[in-house]
Amino acid sequence: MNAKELAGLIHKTLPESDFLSVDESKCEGCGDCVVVCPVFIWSVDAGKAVLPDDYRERCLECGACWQVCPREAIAFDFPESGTGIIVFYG
Amino acid sequence: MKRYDLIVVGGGPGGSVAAKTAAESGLETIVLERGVKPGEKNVSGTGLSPKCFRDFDFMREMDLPRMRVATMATLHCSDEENVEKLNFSFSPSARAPYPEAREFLTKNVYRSELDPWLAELAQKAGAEFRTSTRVSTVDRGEDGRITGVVTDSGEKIAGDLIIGADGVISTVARTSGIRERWDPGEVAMILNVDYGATRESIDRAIGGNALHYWYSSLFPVGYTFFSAEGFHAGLGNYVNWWKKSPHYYLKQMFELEGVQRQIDLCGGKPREFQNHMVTFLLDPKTTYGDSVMLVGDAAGFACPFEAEGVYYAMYSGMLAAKVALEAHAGGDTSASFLGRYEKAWRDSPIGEEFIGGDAIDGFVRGIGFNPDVGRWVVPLLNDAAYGLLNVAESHTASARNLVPTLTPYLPVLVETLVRDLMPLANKIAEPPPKKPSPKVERLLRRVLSPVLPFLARRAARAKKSAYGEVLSDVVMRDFVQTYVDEKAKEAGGAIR
Repeated sequence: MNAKELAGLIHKTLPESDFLSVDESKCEGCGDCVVVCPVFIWSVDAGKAVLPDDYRERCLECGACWQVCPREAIAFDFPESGTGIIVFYG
Repeated sequence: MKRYDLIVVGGGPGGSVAAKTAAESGLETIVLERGVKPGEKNVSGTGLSPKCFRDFDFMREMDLPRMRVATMATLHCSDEENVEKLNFSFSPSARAPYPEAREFLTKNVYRSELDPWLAELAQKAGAEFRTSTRVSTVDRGEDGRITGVVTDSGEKIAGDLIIGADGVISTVARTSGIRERWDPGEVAMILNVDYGATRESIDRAIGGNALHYWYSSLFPVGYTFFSAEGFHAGLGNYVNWWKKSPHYYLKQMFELEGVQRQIDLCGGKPREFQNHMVTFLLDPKTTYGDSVMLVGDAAGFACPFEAEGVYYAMYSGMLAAKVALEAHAGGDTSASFLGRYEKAWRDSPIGEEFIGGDAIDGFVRGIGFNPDVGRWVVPLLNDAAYGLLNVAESHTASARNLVPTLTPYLPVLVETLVRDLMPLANKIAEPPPKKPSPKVERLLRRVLSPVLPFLARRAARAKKSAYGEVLSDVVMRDFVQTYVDEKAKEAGGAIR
Protein backbone atom coordinates (compact mmCIF):
# COMPACT_ATOMS: atom_id res chain seq x y z
CA MET A 1 0.00 0.00 0.00
CA ASN A 2 1.60 3.28 -1.07
CA ALA A 3 1.63 6.49 0.95
CA LYS A 4 -1.22 8.14 -0.97
CA GLU A 5 -3.47 5.10 -0.57
CA LEU A 6 -2.60 4.91 3.11
CA ALA A 7 -3.37 8.60 3.56
CA GLY A 8 -6.82 7.95 2.11
CA LEU A 9 -7.59 5.26 4.66
CA ILE A 10 -9.56 7.55 6.96
CA HIS A 11 -13.14 8.01 8.08
CA LYS A 12 -14.87 11.32 8.59
CA THR A 13 -18.04 13.34 8.60
CA LEU A 14 -17.31 16.28 6.31
CA PRO A 15 -17.12 19.55 8.26
CA GLU A 16 -19.09 22.40 6.71
CA SER A 17 -16.97 25.31 7.82
CA ASP A 18 -13.27 26.05 7.54
CA PHE A 19 -10.99 25.08 10.39
CA LEU A 20 -7.54 25.59 8.84
CA SER A 21 -6.03 28.63 7.13
CA VAL A 22 -2.73 30.29 6.32
CA ASP A 23 -1.86 33.93 6.79
CA GLU A 24 0.07 34.80 3.62
CA SER A 25 1.54 37.93 5.15
CA LYS A 26 3.32 35.81 7.73
CA CYS A 27 4.19 32.74 5.59
CA GLU A 28 7.75 32.63 4.26
CA GLY A 29 7.30 29.44 2.25
CA CYS A 30 9.77 27.36 4.26
CA GLY A 31 7.76 24.20 3.52
CA ASP A 32 7.89 22.71 7.03
CA CYS A 33 4.11 22.15 6.78
CA VAL A 34 4.55 20.38 3.43
CA VAL A 35 7.09 17.95 4.90
CA VAL A 36 5.27 17.19 8.13
CA CYS A 37 1.73 16.66 6.80
CA PRO A 38 1.11 12.89 6.57
CA VAL A 39 -1.83 13.32 4.20
CA PHE A 40 -0.07 15.64 1.70
CA ILE A 41 -2.36 18.64 2.07
CA TRP A 42 0.13 21.49 1.80
CA SER A 43 2.20 22.71 -1.11
CA VAL A 44 4.30 25.83 -1.66
CA ASP A 45 3.71 28.06 -4.64
CA ALA A 46 5.49 31.36 -5.33
CA GLY A 47 7.00 31.34 -1.83
CA LYS A 48 3.72 30.86 0.02
CA ALA A 49 2.02 27.80 1.52
CA VAL A 50 -1.10 26.80 -0.39
CA LEU A 51 -4.14 25.16 1.16
CA PRO A 52 -6.22 23.21 -1.40
CA ASP A 53 -10.00 23.47 -1.59
CA ASP A 54 -10.54 19.84 -0.63
CA TYR A 55 -8.49 19.91 2.60
CA ARG A 56 -11.62 19.36 4.73
CA GLU A 57 -12.05 15.94 3.13
CA ARG A 58 -8.46 14.82 3.70
CA CYS A 59 -7.22 16.51 6.87
CA LEU A 60 -6.58 14.28 9.91
CA GLU A 61 -6.98 17.28 12.25
CA CYS A 62 -3.70 16.38 13.97
CA GLY A 63 -2.58 20.02 14.07
CA ALA A 64 1.06 19.20 13.20
CA CYS A 65 1.28 21.94 10.52
CA TRP A 66 -0.06 24.55 12.93
CA GLN A 67 2.29 23.32 15.63
CA VAL A 68 5.43 23.18 13.46
CA CYS A 69 5.09 26.50 11.62
CA PRO A 70 8.07 28.67 12.63
CA ARG A 71 6.23 31.87 11.61
CA GLU A 72 2.97 30.95 13.37
CA ALA A 73 1.31 31.64 10.03
CA ILE A 74 -1.13 28.71 10.19
CA ALA A 75 -4.39 28.99 12.12
CA PHE A 76 -6.07 25.77 13.27
CA ASP A 77 -9.09 24.87 15.35
CA PHE A 78 -11.20 21.73 15.50
CA PRO A 79 -14.11 21.40 13.07
CA GLU A 80 -17.62 21.99 14.34
CA SER A 81 -19.38 19.73 16.83
CA GLY A 82 -19.88 16.14 15.78
CA THR A 83 -18.01 16.49 12.47
CA GLY A 84 -14.53 15.77 11.21
CA ILE A 85 -12.28 12.78 11.63
CA ILE A 86 -13.68 9.58 13.15
CA VAL A 87 -11.15 7.14 14.51
CA PHE A 88 -12.73 3.71 14.71
CA TYR A 89 -9.57 1.89 15.73
CA GLY A 90 -7.57 4.39 17.78
CA MET B 1 -29.73 29.40 33.49
CA LYS B 2 -28.49 26.21 35.11
CA ARG B 3 -25.12 26.53 36.78
CA TYR B 4 -22.79 23.56 37.05
CA ASP B 5 -20.37 23.07 39.92
CA LEU B 6 -17.87 21.63 37.46
CA ILE B 7 -17.55 21.74 33.67
CA VAL B 8 -15.27 19.11 32.17
CA VAL B 9 -14.18 19.80 28.60
CA GLY B 10 -13.29 16.57 26.81
CA GLY B 11 -14.67 13.06 27.32
CA GLY B 12 -11.47 10.98 27.19
CA PRO B 13 -10.01 9.05 30.13
CA GLY B 14 -8.92 12.25 31.95
CA GLY B 15 -12.32 13.93 31.59
CA SER B 16 -14.35 10.85 32.46
CA VAL B 17 -12.33 10.01 35.58
CA ALA B 18 -12.49 13.67 36.68
CA ALA B 19 -16.27 13.69 36.15
CA LYS B 20 -16.75 10.34 37.87
CA THR B 21 -14.71 11.45 40.91
CA ALA B 22 -16.49 14.81 41.14
CA ALA B 23 -20.00 13.42 40.63
CA GLU B 24 -19.44 10.72 43.25
CA SER B 25 -18.60 13.49 45.72
CA GLY B 26 -21.84 15.28 44.89
CA LEU B 27 -20.65 17.97 42.47
CA GLU B 28 -23.10 18.91 39.73
CA THR B 29 -20.89 17.93 36.79
CA ILE B 30 -21.18 18.11 33.01
CA VAL B 31 -18.80 16.65 30.42
CA LEU B 32 -18.65 18.20 26.93
CA GLU B 33 -17.24 16.00 24.18
CA ARG B 34 -16.83 17.21 20.59
CA GLY B 35 -17.07 13.73 19.03
CA VAL B 36 -20.32 11.90 18.35
CA LYS B 37 -19.01 9.17 20.64
CA PRO B 38 -16.33 9.39 23.34
CA GLY B 39 -13.01 8.09 22.00
CA GLU B 40 -13.72 8.64 18.33
CA LYS B 41 -11.13 11.44 18.11
CA ASN B 42 -8.45 9.58 20.00
CA VAL B 43 -5.42 7.58 18.93
CA SER B 44 -3.28 5.59 21.33
CA GLY B 45 -0.40 3.16 21.36
CA THR B 46 -3.10 0.97 22.97
CA GLY B 47 -1.22 -0.22 26.09
CA LEU B 48 -2.73 0.36 29.54
CA SER B 49 -0.05 0.01 32.20
CA PRO B 50 -0.44 -2.02 35.41
CA LYS B 51 -0.49 1.33 37.26
CA CYS B 52 -4.03 1.94 35.92
CA PHE B 53 -5.21 -1.21 37.69
CA ARG B 54 -3.16 -0.63 40.85
CA ASP B 55 -4.55 2.85 41.45
CA PHE B 56 -8.16 2.58 40.22
CA ASP B 57 -10.33 -0.15 41.72
CA PHE B 58 -12.97 0.24 39.01
CA MET B 59 -10.40 -0.69 36.35
CA ARG B 60 -10.37 -4.24 37.68
CA GLU B 61 -13.91 -4.57 36.31
CA MET B 62 -12.75 -3.59 32.82
CA ASP B 63 -13.66 -6.22 30.26
CA LEU B 64 -13.31 -4.91 26.72
CA PRO B 65 -13.94 -7.30 23.80
CA ARG B 66 -10.82 -6.41 21.82
CA MET B 67 -8.34 -6.45 24.70
CA ARG B 68 -5.10 -8.45 24.47
CA VAL B 69 -2.92 -8.91 27.54
CA ALA B 70 0.77 -8.35 26.77
CA THR B 71 3.01 -10.61 28.83
CA MET B 72 6.14 -10.03 26.80
CA ALA B 73 7.81 -7.16 24.94
CA THR B 74 10.46 -7.49 22.25
CA LEU B 75 13.03 -4.99 21.00
CA HIS B 76 14.21 -5.66 17.45
CA CYS B 77 17.40 -3.98 16.25
CA SER B 78 18.18 -3.65 12.55
CA ASP B 79 21.20 -2.34 10.66
CA GLU B 80 21.77 0.22 7.91
CA GLU B 81 20.82 -2.35 5.26
CA ASN B 82 17.42 -2.66 6.97
CA VAL B 83 18.24 -6.20 8.10
CA GLU B 84 17.32 -7.32 11.59
CA LYS B 85 20.53 -8.14 13.49
CA LEU B 86 19.45 -8.90 17.02
CA ASN B 87 16.50 -8.78 19.33
CA PHE B 88 15.68 -9.40 22.94
CA SER B 89 12.52 -9.82 24.97
CA PHE B 90 11.46 -9.34 28.54
CA SER B 91 8.43 -10.23 30.64
CA PRO B 92 6.97 -9.19 34.01
CA SER B 93 9.37 -9.72 36.88
CA ALA B 94 8.42 -12.05 39.73
CA ARG B 95 9.88 -9.35 41.98
CA ALA B 96 7.73 -6.51 40.56
CA PRO B 97 6.24 -4.46 43.40
CA TYR B 98 2.51 -5.35 43.08
CA PRO B 99 0.30 -8.17 41.71
CA GLU B 100 -0.79 -6.57 38.42
CA ALA B 101 2.82 -5.69 37.58
CA ARG B 102 3.83 -9.31 38.15
CA GLU B 103 1.01 -10.47 35.89
CA PHE B 104 1.31 -8.40 32.71
CA LEU B 105 3.26 -5.60 31.00
CA THR B 106 0.24 -3.85 29.44
CA LYS B 107 -3.37 -4.50 28.56
CA ASN B 108 -3.78 -3.47 24.93
CA VAL B 109 -7.14 -1.93 24.13
CA TYR B 110 -8.85 0.25 21.55
CA ARG B 111 -9.83 3.76 22.58
CA SER B 112 -13.14 3.30 20.77
CA GLU B 113 -13.96 0.76 23.49
CA LEU B 114 -12.09 2.16 26.50
CA ASP B 115 -13.32 5.75 26.32
CA PRO B 116 -17.06 4.95 26.03
CA TRP B 117 -16.75 2.49 28.93
CA LEU B 118 -15.12 5.15 31.16
CA ALA B 119 -17.71 7.71 30.02
CA GLU B 120 -20.45 5.32 31.08
CA LEU B 121 -18.89 5.04 34.56
CA ALA B 122 -18.92 8.84 34.83
CA GLN B 123 -22.57 8.91 33.80
CA LYS B 124 -23.48 6.18 36.27
CA ALA B 125 -21.82 8.27 38.99
CA GLY B 126 -24.24 11.07 38.11
CA ALA B 127 -22.30 13.24 35.66
CA GLU B 128 -24.18 14.68 32.70
CA PHE B 129 -22.48 13.73 29.44
CA ARG B 130 -23.00 15.66 26.23
CA THR B 131 -21.46 14.49 22.97
CA SER B 132 -21.29 16.35 19.62
CA THR B 133 -20.58 19.45 21.69
CA ARG B 134 -17.41 21.35 20.89
CA VAL B 135 -16.37 24.11 23.25
CA SER B 136 -15.05 27.06 21.25
CA THR B 137 -13.95 29.25 24.16
CA VAL B 138 -14.16 29.84 27.88
CA ASP B 139 -16.76 32.47 28.72
CA ARG B 140 -15.92 35.59 30.69
CA GLY B 141 -18.09 38.02 32.62
CA GLU B 142 -17.80 41.80 32.34
CA ASP B 143 -15.18 41.82 35.07
CA GLY B 144 -13.08 39.38 33.01
CA ARG B 145 -13.61 36.44 35.34
CA ILE B 146 -14.34 33.04 33.83
CA THR B 147 -18.04 32.24 34.09
CA GLY B 148 -18.33 29.09 31.98
CA VAL B 149 -17.80 27.97 28.42
CA VAL B 150 -19.36 28.69 25.03
CA THR B 151 -20.03 25.90 22.53
CA ASP B 152 -19.59 26.36 18.79
CA SER B 153 -23.34 26.72 18.38
CA GLY B 154 -23.15 29.74 20.69
CA GLU B 155 -24.73 28.06 23.71
CA LYS B 156 -23.39 29.22 27.05
CA ILE B 157 -22.82 26.69 29.80
CA ALA B 158 -22.36 28.31 33.19
CA GLY B 159 -19.99 27.27 35.94
CA ASP B 160 -16.89 28.80 37.42
CA LEU B 161 -14.80 25.64 37.70
CA ILE B 162 -13.47 24.14 34.47
CA ILE B 163 -11.33 21.08 33.95
CA GLY B 164 -9.60 21.15 30.55
CA ALA B 165 -9.33 17.50 29.53
CA ASP B 166 -9.31 18.39 25.87
CA GLY B 167 -6.07 16.93 24.63
CA VAL B 168 -2.74 18.13 23.32
CA ILE B 169 -4.41 21.00 21.41
CA SER B 170 -6.43 22.25 24.35
CA THR B 171 -9.13 24.82 23.65
CA VAL B 172 -9.38 25.50 27.39
CA ALA B 173 -5.64 26.20 27.62
CA ARG B 174 -5.75 28.37 24.49
CA THR B 175 -8.76 30.48 25.36
CA SER B 176 -8.07 30.84 29.10
CA GLY B 177 -4.66 32.30 28.27
CA ILE B 178 -2.55 29.47 29.69
CA ARG B 179 -0.94 28.51 26.38
CA GLU B 180 -1.61 29.06 22.68
CA ARG B 181 0.49 26.15 21.44
CA TRP B 182 3.50 24.10 22.50
CA ASP B 183 7.03 24.85 21.41
CA PRO B 184 7.67 22.81 18.22
CA GLY B 185 10.53 21.03 20.04
CA GLU B 186 8.19 19.88 22.81
CA VAL B 187 5.74 17.87 20.81
CA ALA B 188 6.07 14.71 18.72
CA MET B 189 3.93 13.47 15.87
CA ILE B 190 3.09 9.76 15.80
CA LEU B 191 1.90 8.07 12.60
CA ASN B 192 -0.14 4.99 13.16
CA VAL B 193 -1.58 2.36 10.82
CA ASP B 194 -4.28 0.11 12.23
CA TYR B 195 -4.45 -3.41 10.78
CA GLY B 196 -7.41 -5.72 11.14
CA ALA B 197 -6.80 -9.45 11.66
CA THR B 198 -8.50 -12.44 13.20
CA ARG B 199 -8.13 -13.31 16.85
CA GLU B 200 -6.99 -16.83 15.98
CA SER B 201 -4.21 -15.71 13.65
CA ILE B 202 -2.82 -13.22 16.17
CA ASP B 203 -3.08 -15.84 18.93
CA ARG B 204 -1.01 -18.19 16.80
CA ALA B 205 1.56 -15.72 15.48
CA ILE B 206 1.94 -13.40 18.46
CA GLY B 207 0.19 -14.69 21.58
CA GLY B 208 1.15 -12.58 24.58
CA ASN B 209 4.32 -11.24 22.95
CA ALA B 210 2.21 -8.26 21.96
CA LEU B 211 4.56 -5.26 22.20
CA HIS B 212 7.26 -5.02 19.54
CA TYR B 213 9.67 -2.12 19.22
CA TRP B 214 11.74 -1.66 16.07
CA TYR B 215 15.04 0.15 16.55
CA SER B 216 16.96 1.24 13.48
CA SER B 217 19.29 3.87 12.07
CA LEU B 218 16.94 4.29 9.08
CA PHE B 219 13.83 5.47 10.92
CA PRO B 220 12.88 6.74 14.39
CA VAL B 221 12.01 3.92 16.78
CA GLY B 222 8.79 2.24 15.64
CA TYR B 223 6.33 -0.23 17.13
CA THR B 224 3.83 -2.97 16.39
CA PHE B 225 1.35 -3.38 19.27
CA PHE B 226 -1.28 -6.11 19.16
CA SER B 227 -4.80 -6.12 20.51
CA ALA B 228 -7.16 -9.09 20.29
CA GLU B 229 -8.30 -8.59 16.69
CA GLY B 230 -5.98 -6.04 15.21
CA PHE B 231 -2.72 -4.21 15.65
CA HIS B 232 -1.10 -0.82 15.43
CA ALA B 233 2.10 -0.18 13.49
CA GLY B 234 3.71 3.23 13.64
CA LEU B 235 6.53 5.55 14.54
CA GLY B 236 7.07 9.17 15.49
CA ASN B 237 9.43 12.00 16.23
CA TYR B 238 9.34 15.71 17.15
CA VAL B 239 7.19 17.72 14.72
CA ASN B 240 10.23 19.76 13.68
CA TRP B 241 12.52 16.72 13.24
CA TRP B 242 11.30 15.42 9.85
CA LYS B 243 13.63 16.02 6.91
CA LYS B 244 11.51 13.97 4.50
CA SER B 245 7.86 12.97 4.47
CA PRO B 246 7.00 10.81 7.50
CA HIS B 247 5.86 8.18 4.97
CA TYR B 248 9.47 7.75 3.83
CA TYR B 249 10.44 6.53 7.29
CA LEU B 250 7.24 4.51 7.73
CA LYS B 251 8.01 2.71 4.46
CA GLN B 252 11.49 1.79 5.70
CA MET B 253 9.93 0.24 8.76
CA PHE B 254 7.31 -1.67 6.77
CA GLU B 255 10.06 -3.05 4.50
CA LEU B 256 11.72 -4.77 7.44
CA GLU B 257 11.34 -8.51 7.03
CA GLY B 258 10.31 -8.92 10.68
CA VAL B 259 7.46 -6.41 10.34
CA GLN B 260 6.35 -7.98 7.03
CA ARG B 261 6.37 -11.41 8.62
CA GLN B 262 4.15 -10.25 11.48
CA ILE B 263 1.67 -8.69 9.06
CA ASP B 264 1.67 -11.81 6.85
CA LEU B 265 1.38 -14.32 9.69
CA CYS B 266 -1.51 -12.39 11.23
CA GLY B 267 -3.15 -11.85 7.84
CA GLY B 268 -3.25 -8.13 8.69
CA LYS B 269 -5.24 -5.81 6.39
CA PRO B 270 -4.72 -2.03 6.69
CA ARG B 271 -7.93 -0.66 8.16
CA GLU B 272 -7.23 2.92 9.18
CA PHE B 273 -4.53 5.56 8.94
CA GLN B 274 -4.11 7.79 11.97
CA ASN B 275 -1.88 10.59 13.17
CA HIS B 276 -1.67 12.36 16.47
CA MET B 277 0.60 14.60 18.50
CA VAL B 278 1.98 13.90 21.93
CA THR B 279 4.10 16.07 24.23
CA PHE B 280 7.60 15.25 25.41
CA LEU B 281 8.22 17.87 28.06
CA LEU B 282 11.08 18.71 30.38
CA ASP B 283 8.45 19.80 32.86
CA PRO B 284 4.69 20.37 32.49
CA LYS B 285 4.82 24.13 33.27
CA THR B 286 1.48 25.86 33.83
CA THR B 287 -1.37 23.46 34.57
CA TYR B 288 -3.92 25.80 36.18
CA GLY B 289 -5.23 29.33 36.20
CA ASP B 290 -8.24 31.21 37.56
CA SER B 291 -11.18 28.75 37.46
CA VAL B 292 -9.19 26.32 35.30
CA MET B 293 -7.25 23.10 35.79
CA LEU B 294 -5.69 21.12 32.93
CA VAL B 295 -5.42 17.33 33.01
CA GLY B 296 -3.90 14.63 30.80
CA ASP B 297 -2.47 15.63 27.43
CA ALA B 298 -3.88 19.16 27.84
CA ALA B 299 -1.46 19.58 30.77
CA GLY B 300 1.42 17.88 28.94
CA PHE B 301 1.36 14.86 31.28
CA ALA B 302 2.29 12.23 28.71
CA CYS B 303 5.23 10.28 30.13
CA PRO B 304 8.36 12.07 28.82
CA PHE B 305 10.09 8.72 28.42
CA GLU B 306 7.78 6.62 26.27
CA ALA B 307 4.66 8.75 25.86
CA GLU B 308 2.23 6.68 27.93
CA GLY B 309 -0.76 8.96 28.39
CA VAL B 310 -3.96 7.29 29.59
CA TYR B 311 -2.77 6.57 33.14
CA TYR B 312 -1.51 10.12 33.68
CA ALA B 313 -4.75 11.52 32.28
CA MET B 314 -6.83 9.37 34.63
CA TYR B 315 -4.68 10.16 37.64
CA SER B 316 -4.58 13.91 37.02
CA GLY B 317 -8.35 13.85 36.36
CA MET B 318 -8.87 12.30 39.77
CA LEU B 319 -6.56 14.82 41.49
CA ALA B 320 -8.15 17.81 39.73
CA ALA B 321 -11.64 16.64 40.73
CA LYS B 322 -10.57 16.44 44.38
CA VAL B 323 -9.19 19.98 44.26
CA ALA B 324 -12.40 21.08 42.50
CA LEU B 325 -14.38 19.65 45.40
CA GLU B 326 -12.30 21.67 47.90
CA ALA B 327 -12.56 24.80 45.77
CA HIS B 328 -16.33 24.41 45.52
CA ALA B 329 -16.71 23.81 49.26
CA GLY B 330 -14.62 26.88 50.11
CA GLY B 331 -16.15 29.04 47.38
CA ASP B 332 -12.69 29.92 46.07
CA THR B 333 -11.85 29.17 42.43
CA SER B 334 -8.92 31.59 42.15
CA ALA B 335 -5.62 30.49 40.66
CA SER B 336 -3.97 30.89 44.04
CA PHE B 337 -6.36 28.32 45.51
CA LEU B 338 -6.17 25.96 42.52
CA GLY B 339 -2.39 26.02 42.93
CA ARG B 340 -2.88 23.08 45.27
CA TYR B 341 -3.65 21.03 42.15
CA GLU B 342 -0.05 21.53 41.02
CA LYS B 343 1.22 20.55 44.43
CA ALA B 344 -0.99 17.43 44.29
CA TRP B 345 0.29 16.21 40.92
CA ARG B 346 3.90 17.06 41.74
CA ASP B 347 3.62 14.87 44.86
CA SER B 348 2.04 12.05 42.83
CA PRO B 349 3.34 9.45 40.34
CA ILE B 350 2.89 12.16 37.68
CA GLY B 351 5.42 14.49 39.29
CA GLU B 352 7.74 11.56 39.82
CA GLU B 353 7.90 10.98 36.04
CA PHE B 354 9.23 14.49 35.56
CA ILE B 355 11.90 14.51 38.28
CA GLY B 356 14.38 13.35 35.65
CA GLY B 357 13.43 16.38 33.52
CA ASP B 358 16.37 17.46 31.43
CA ALA B 359 18.17 14.12 31.88
CA ILE B 360 15.23 12.18 30.40
CA ASP B 361 14.94 14.77 27.66
CA GLY B 362 18.66 14.32 26.88
CA PHE B 363 18.23 10.56 26.73
CA VAL B 364 15.12 10.68 24.51
CA ARG B 365 16.69 13.19 22.13
CA GLY B 366 20.15 11.64 22.22
CA ILE B 367 19.21 7.96 21.94
CA GLY B 368 15.47 7.20 21.73
CA PHE B 369 14.57 9.65 18.98
CA ASN B 370 18.00 9.71 17.38
CA PRO B 371 18.34 7.08 14.62
CA ASP B 372 22.05 7.99 14.17
CA VAL B 373 22.89 6.15 17.37
CA GLY B 374 21.53 2.94 15.82
CA ARG B 375 24.39 3.03 13.32
CA TRP B 376 26.87 1.86 15.97
CA VAL B 377 24.70 0.63 18.86
CA VAL B 378 23.20 -2.19 16.80
CA PRO B 379 26.59 -3.57 15.55
CA LEU B 380 28.01 -3.12 19.05
CA LEU B 381 25.26 -5.12 20.74
CA ASN B 382 25.40 -7.79 18.07
CA ASP B 383 29.19 -8.08 18.18
CA ALA B 384 28.99 -8.47 21.95
CA ALA B 385 26.29 -11.15 21.77
CA TYR B 386 27.97 -12.92 18.86
CA GLY B 387 31.36 -12.75 20.55
CA LEU B 388 30.01 -14.52 23.60
CA LEU B 389 27.75 -17.09 21.97
CA ASN B 390 29.02 -17.98 18.49
CA VAL B 391 30.18 -21.46 17.56
CA ALA B 392 32.30 -20.42 14.57
CA GLU B 393 35.47 -20.84 16.60
CA SER B 394 36.49 -22.38 19.90
CA HIS B 395 34.97 -20.43 22.77
CA THR B 396 38.46 -19.64 24.00
CA ALA B 397 39.33 -18.02 20.67
CA SER B 398 36.02 -16.13 20.60
CA ALA B 399 36.53 -14.82 24.11
CA ARG B 400 40.05 -13.72 23.17
CA ASN B 401 38.63 -11.84 20.15
CA LEU B 402 35.95 -10.10 22.18
CA VAL B 403 38.10 -7.29 23.55
CA PRO B 404 39.78 -6.27 20.26
CA THR B 405 36.39 -6.50 18.52
CA LEU B 406 34.65 -4.22 21.00
CA THR B 407 37.50 -1.76 21.65
CA PRO B 408 36.84 0.40 18.55
CA TYR B 409 33.34 1.15 19.90
CA LEU B 410 34.70 2.54 23.16
CA PRO B 411 35.17 6.23 22.23
CA VAL B 412 31.64 6.70 20.88
CA LEU B 413 30.15 4.47 23.57
CA VAL B 414 31.81 6.38 26.39
CA GLU B 415 30.85 9.70 24.84
CA THR B 416 27.20 8.69 24.57
CA LEU B 417 27.12 7.16 28.02
CA VAL B 418 28.57 10.27 29.59
CA ARG B 419 26.43 12.70 27.58
CA ASP B 420 23.04 10.99 27.37
CA LEU B 421 22.89 8.12 29.83
CA MET B 422 24.86 9.10 32.95
CA PRO B 423 22.83 12.24 33.70
CA LEU B 424 19.73 10.07 33.55
CA ALA B 425 21.26 7.40 35.77
CA ASN B 426 22.32 10.05 38.28
CA LYS B 427 18.84 11.57 38.38
CA ILE B 428 17.13 8.24 38.81
CA ALA B 429 19.53 7.06 41.50
CA GLU B 430 18.54 7.61 45.11
CA PRO B 431 19.78 10.88 46.56
CA PRO B 432 23.32 10.38 47.94
CA PRO B 433 23.32 8.76 51.38
CA LYS B 434 23.33 11.22 54.23
CA LYS B 435 26.59 11.87 56.07
CA PRO B 436 27.02 9.63 59.09
CA SER B 437 25.84 11.18 62.32
CA PRO B 438 28.53 13.14 64.20
CA LYS B 439 28.61 10.38 66.78
CA VAL B 440 29.36 7.68 64.19
CA GLU B 441 31.87 9.94 62.47
CA ARG B 442 33.74 10.58 65.70
CA LEU B 443 33.85 6.86 66.38
CA LEU B 444 35.12 6.14 62.86
CA ARG B 445 37.84 8.71 63.17
CA ARG B 446 39.00 7.37 66.52
CA VAL B 447 39.15 3.83 65.16
CA LEU B 448 40.76 4.76 61.86
CA SER B 449 43.18 7.52 62.89
CA PRO B 450 46.04 5.13 63.80
CA VAL B 451 45.97 3.60 60.30
CA LEU B 452 45.35 6.77 58.26
CA PRO B 453 49.01 7.67 57.70
CA PHE B 454 49.54 4.11 56.47
CA LEU B 455 46.56 4.33 54.10
CA ALA B 456 47.83 7.65 52.80
CA ARG B 457 51.23 6.11 52.00
CA ARG B 458 49.57 3.17 50.25
CA ALA B 459 47.49 5.57 48.23
CA ALA B 460 50.55 7.55 47.16
CA ARG B 461 52.32 4.39 46.07
CA ALA B 462 49.24 2.99 44.31
CA LYS B 463 49.01 6.19 42.29
CA LYS B 464 51.97 5.03 40.24
CA SER B 465 49.81 2.40 38.47
CA ALA B 466 46.87 3.39 36.28
CA TYR B 467 44.31 1.59 38.35
CA GLY B 468 45.90 2.89 41.55
CA GLU B 469 45.36 6.39 40.35
CA VAL B 470 41.65 5.86 40.07
CA LEU B 471 41.58 4.09 43.40
CA SER B 472 43.52 6.78 45.20
CA ASP B 473 41.63 9.60 43.58
CA VAL B 474 38.15 8.32 44.09
CA VAL B 475 38.38 6.27 47.25
CA MET B 476 41.20 7.78 49.20
CA ARG B 477 41.23 11.46 48.38
CA ASP B 478 38.41 12.67 50.57
CA PHE B 479 39.38 10.53 53.45
CA VAL B 480 43.04 11.46 53.43
CA GLN B 481 42.32 15.11 52.76
CA THR B 482 39.97 15.26 55.71
CA TYR B 483 42.66 13.73 57.88
CA VAL B 484 45.32 16.12 56.65
CA ASP B 485 43.01 19.11 57.09
CA GLU B 486 42.23 18.06 60.57
CA LYS B 487 45.90 17.68 61.49
CA ALA B 488 46.60 21.10 60.03
CA LYS B 489 43.76 22.59 62.03
CA GLU B 490 45.04 20.97 65.19
CA ALA B 491 48.50 22.32 64.53
CA GLY B 492 47.13 25.79 63.74
CA GLY B 493 45.17 25.73 66.94
CA ALA B 494 48.27 24.75 68.86
CA ILE B 495 50.33 27.57 67.36
CA ARG B 496 47.70 30.14 68.13
